[in-house]
Amino acid sequence: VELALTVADATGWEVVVVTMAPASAGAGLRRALAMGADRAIHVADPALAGSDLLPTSRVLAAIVRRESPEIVFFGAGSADTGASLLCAAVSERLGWPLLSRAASIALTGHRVRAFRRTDRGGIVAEADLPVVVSLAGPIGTIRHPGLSDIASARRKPVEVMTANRLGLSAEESGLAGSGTRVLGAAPGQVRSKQTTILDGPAAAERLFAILQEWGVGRG
Amino acid sequence: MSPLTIQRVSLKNRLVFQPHFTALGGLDGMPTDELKAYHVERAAGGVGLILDGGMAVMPEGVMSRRFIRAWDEEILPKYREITDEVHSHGALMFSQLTHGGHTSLENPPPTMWAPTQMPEPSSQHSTKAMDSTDIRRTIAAFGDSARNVVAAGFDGIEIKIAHDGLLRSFVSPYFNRRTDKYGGSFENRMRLAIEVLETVRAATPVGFPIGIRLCLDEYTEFGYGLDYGLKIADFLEATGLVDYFNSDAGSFSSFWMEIPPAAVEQGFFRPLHRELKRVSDLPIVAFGRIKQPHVAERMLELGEADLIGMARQLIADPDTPRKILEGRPEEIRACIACNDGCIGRVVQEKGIRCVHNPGAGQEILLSERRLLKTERPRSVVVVGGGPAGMKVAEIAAKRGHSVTLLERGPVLGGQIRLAARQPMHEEIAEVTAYLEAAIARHGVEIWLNVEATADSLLELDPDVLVIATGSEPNLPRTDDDGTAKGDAVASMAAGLVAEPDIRGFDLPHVLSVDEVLSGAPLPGTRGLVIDATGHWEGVGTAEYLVDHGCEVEVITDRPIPGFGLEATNLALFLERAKEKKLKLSPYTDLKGLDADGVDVVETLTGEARRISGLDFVVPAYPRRSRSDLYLELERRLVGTDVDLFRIGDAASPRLIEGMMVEAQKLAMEL
Repeated sequence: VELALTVADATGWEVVVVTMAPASAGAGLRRALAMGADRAIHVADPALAGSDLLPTSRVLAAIVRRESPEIVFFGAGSADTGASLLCAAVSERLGWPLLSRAASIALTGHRVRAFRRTDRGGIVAEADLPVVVSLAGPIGTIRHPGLSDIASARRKPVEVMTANRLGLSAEESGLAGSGTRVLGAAPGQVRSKQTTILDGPAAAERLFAILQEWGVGRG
Repeated sequence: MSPLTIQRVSLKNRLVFQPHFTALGGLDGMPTDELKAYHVERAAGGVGLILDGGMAVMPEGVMSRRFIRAWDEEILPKYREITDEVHSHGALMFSQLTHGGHTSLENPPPTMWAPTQMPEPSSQHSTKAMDSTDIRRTIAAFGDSARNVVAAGFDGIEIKIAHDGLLRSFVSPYFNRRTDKYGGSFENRMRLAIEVLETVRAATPVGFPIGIRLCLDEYTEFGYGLDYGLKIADFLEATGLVDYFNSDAGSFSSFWMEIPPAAVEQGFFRPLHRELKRVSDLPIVAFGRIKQPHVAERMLELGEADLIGMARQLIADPDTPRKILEGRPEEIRACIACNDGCIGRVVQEKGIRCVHNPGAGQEILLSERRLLKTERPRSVVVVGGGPAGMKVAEIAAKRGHSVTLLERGPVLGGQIRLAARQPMHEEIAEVTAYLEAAIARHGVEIWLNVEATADSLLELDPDVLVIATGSEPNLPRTDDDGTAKGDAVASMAAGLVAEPDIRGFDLPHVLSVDEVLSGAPLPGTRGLVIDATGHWEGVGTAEYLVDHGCEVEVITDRPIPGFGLEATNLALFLERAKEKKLKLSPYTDLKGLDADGVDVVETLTGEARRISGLDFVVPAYPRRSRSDLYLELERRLVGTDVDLFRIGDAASPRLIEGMMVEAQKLAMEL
């Protein structure tokens, strides 16, 4: 969102934020609108529950086709499965170039230049608009909304969208439209939440005692 | 969470609500609707067994006017209601029978009975040495009371040979110096307990569970230790009259071990019931500051106990068992072992409370189980992410309101964040940890780093505005050009807030408690703390400074620094102050200070003294409300239909408990 807003600051372009998530995910959209995005599209549709990469990329590509933006920004990865493949799947469906793992971008006329972070360093690459850009990770300072921004965000439009209205059939959506099946999921060991602040000279000793109590480091 | 059978009854799980005095009985010693609601709340929360707080077996054994009169048939109708409703939730309920003996919560106490005439060392009042008639009547009273509680629908009886009361004073070599058949030898000291057990056994049906709450270690210089405690257990078990042991420790002379505050580490008492478990074949109930499910589970796995006893954890969160069973342990509101709301009140014969569970002891009014969904959801904007703001946000959101919480700082928690930096006070962070998780779970829209102004708040177009902007140290604060700073400038100009009238508080080497705990650079290592509030602000900050390498003196014009601390906390603070060489100067009245020193008067002698060589001074004085925003909104909102409220420290600086109740009541009325 920050990167899109930086581009918009320079160009005057519109910024649209899109999420495909349950209704409870509205907080993220509200934050983006308060930061300065112009409007939001919330694809909240029970028919999409269980979607893997295939239906999710179908939905997002359909929205991109409808909105026909100059640049599509993706974050570094989703909060659930974190596969970081969605940017590639959407650009494939659109037939657009992809600048993945971008640490920064610069827009000159109709070209986007990106510094792409790789495991061994970086690559500078560029592509013509329209283009898909995905981030390598956090990009530094994010603008901070004030209360007036929060208030004006409440007046900005949030369009609630369904798979059906995007022209996706039931077979293309949700579990039915997915190529993979989740067979099981196991949480990490759930501990009851406890907050202990250790301070002062005895802190190390107490921390050791607590870890011992929990059986950490045993066997 | 597996079942366990004791005699003819079966517990659905291993969690036990430990017996404790609630002061929810009437002044006439009768059970009340409040007591009923208190126990039913815990039964509904899923606990397997409720051990009702000790009931007195005879008028001479009543430790407080609010002790329930076990012998009196008048208690039956209400107790039948209580046991019926507890049973309807699948929980069992045992009665604990006791005789107050040489201990009383009343001041002055009524005549206190003892094996040998002497005051319990924590008291200045002597006792009556019991004669044979008294002993005979006491034994009979246990029998009569046992019959009565069976009729009341209880599922078992626990007899108290624990941290207070007559029966422990008889088994204790220090308190029992008799040479008749009830004293002298170990067997003779055990005689009263055995005769009581035999009488209770005879008065109850076959297979009726009878257990003992046993003090395993008196934790005094003069009293008995664990070896003797285990010997008592062994002797009692050999009679075949006992069905389970509930472990216990401490005495009135070591009351910080009866109800250990946060300064006593979690798990401190595990060696006691572990040893008891090793020598005994009976089911053992563990005790003592157990609050974390994974620790409880581990204790059961390791065979350290058969049942997990919790009192304060279930006071703080009656739904603890249910949350464990349903795999939601992260939702548990953990006890912070502050002792302010529970033991701190009941020793004054005031109804039990919990500082961060407003419903505790007030279930009829404030039970979270009884929260009603609102019929007209409104847009509620809360300004301030301290405990009061978060509490009102939590309850309002739970009721279905659309809640936005604005916090000016980068984190939630308000002053609790600072308080948690004080030594032995870290667990207070549970208050904010719980609330932060709860408001996120209930969909409160949370905005950090957002400064609220009247204009921008009104832009949000709220139906309800709750101002919970907290308080600030009540010290002079001006910019270099002399303009006043802070969030109470307008309030002070309007004469609504006054600064303490002390010469020198505007000097640069005067630091607020907030500055110290926020880690502000100190001008040196020699500090003076002035304790004018008596709670954690002063002495906790002084101890923090000592732990950070400072040499500190605390002065107060009262009898002791920390005069407002709950007694177990104060007792252990004084021990630590001694060890850490924290100098405490009571009866020392501050007259004023300048750059070179502090002028005080010793109030006992009237002598003036000057304390010099200080690098900094930290006044812990009552705070001032940050009320400017509220006052402006109040003016601006005249004639509008926005409901405006001010809660928490923004209304009046206080301890957590009062503002939590205030916040919940407000949220229930929105």
